[in-house]
Amino acid sequence: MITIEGLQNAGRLSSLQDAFLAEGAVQCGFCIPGMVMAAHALLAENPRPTETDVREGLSGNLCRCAGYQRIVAAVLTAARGATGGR
Amino acid sequence: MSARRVGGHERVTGQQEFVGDIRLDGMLHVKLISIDCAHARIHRIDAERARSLPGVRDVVCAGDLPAPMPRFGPVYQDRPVLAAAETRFHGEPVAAVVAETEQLAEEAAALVEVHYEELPQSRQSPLRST
Repeated sequence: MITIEGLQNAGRLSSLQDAFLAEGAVQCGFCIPGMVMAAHALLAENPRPTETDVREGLSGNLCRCAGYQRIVAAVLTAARGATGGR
Repeated sequence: MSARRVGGHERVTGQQEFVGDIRLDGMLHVKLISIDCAHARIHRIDAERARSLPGVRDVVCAGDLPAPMPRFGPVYQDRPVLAAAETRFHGEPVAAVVAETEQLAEEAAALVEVHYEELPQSRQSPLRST
């Protein structure tokens, strides 16, 4: 079982964690561990998700800041990075 | 690259602490008690069984608080701390159990009996278009 504390590799952020920061997807942070781990699981199963896939994959997680646009953008950015092309 | 939010690193690595993570020496835990009815007149709250559990410090009811009931709210301070005499929405707290652990507070909360009478309720959503 992996939790948010275990996503870093030798102190370096995963590309997904980095994408959350780069896209400004982190606001108050309350939902972020759940969002990142749901996205991590989604990308493990589906490395090239569509926007609809991402929204579906994160649908069990609520963001009290209502910052969904940038969270979805961050996951799509991470997915593009993971497959080598932007 | 655009500027990154201060504190963002802590929030994507699980290091950010929230209020629920705070632990203080001797801190107590509170569970709020509500009833399954939006609008009701509270007749009596029987909390003796809950109070008798070891580790339960108190069960606070409306009558234990100052009158008029203190009110709170993020913008308008219009919400009674506990429903005084009547509840006005589903889930409005009518009592608070104070205990030494969260689990104990939950156990004690289940033992509190609220005797109430249902009053007329509006079942129309205020969001429904007219």
